[in-house]
Amino acid sequence: MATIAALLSSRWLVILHAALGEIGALSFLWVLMELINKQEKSYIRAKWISLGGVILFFANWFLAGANYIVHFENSIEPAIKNTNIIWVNNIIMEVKIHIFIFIPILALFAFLIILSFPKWSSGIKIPRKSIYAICILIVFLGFIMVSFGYIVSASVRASFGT
Amino acid sequence: MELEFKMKNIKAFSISLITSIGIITLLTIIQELSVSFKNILKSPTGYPWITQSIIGIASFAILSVILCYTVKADNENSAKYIWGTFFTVLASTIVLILFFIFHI
Repeated sequence: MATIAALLSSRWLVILHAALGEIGALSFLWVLMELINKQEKSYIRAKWISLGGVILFFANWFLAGANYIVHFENSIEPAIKNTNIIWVNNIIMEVKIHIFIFIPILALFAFLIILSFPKWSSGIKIPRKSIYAICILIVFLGFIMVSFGYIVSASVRASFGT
Repeated sequence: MELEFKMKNIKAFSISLITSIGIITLLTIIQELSVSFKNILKSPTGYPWITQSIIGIASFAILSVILCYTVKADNENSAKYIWGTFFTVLASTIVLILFFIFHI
């Protein structure tokens, strides 16, 4: 119970949410590097790392939801709404919430696609460029979420004058 | 340990993801334009985005399984389907960003 209470404390929830999201995004950058390598061992690693990325993104779904319900709507959202930077809530946070829904499903898709090509190193007709593009898109969306999160937290600090 | 996978129907996964992303984007726009629709989405879970997340992952999973058994695999054109998925996700992201910028 003490662990759950500690996790639900604002600081740890935000730290875990940000860390899992960033590691998840970086894991698909790692997957991209392994796939570009075109070696059999790299492909085996890519499969496991992409599975890890999917698990991290889905775990982050729950952490982000908990963070929103426990802290954001009760203290952070009202604080932002009382300032002249309300666009942070109405644009940045709204976009963040809804694009965030895409990422775990896209990561799951990437994992399934990577698994679908067992002869990665030797197959000629593998659509490598499109799979690389999906990995780059996951990293790109992941870091859009990170930058939006930074804007929201910077706005909150500014509104509290800390 | 080797990860093995039997269902190699990229066309099915791509169609499922395109549909799922399309549904999430449409639900987002409609719920922002209609308060009553937002309340409908809110009622099962308390938050519209939780309902949207469940609908998104459920539609992807259910459609993938159904299409894997009903749609003939077209792995010759798999690049076309993966690129289609890529551009759908990118376009949905841009649409949502523009929508929230011009909606307020």
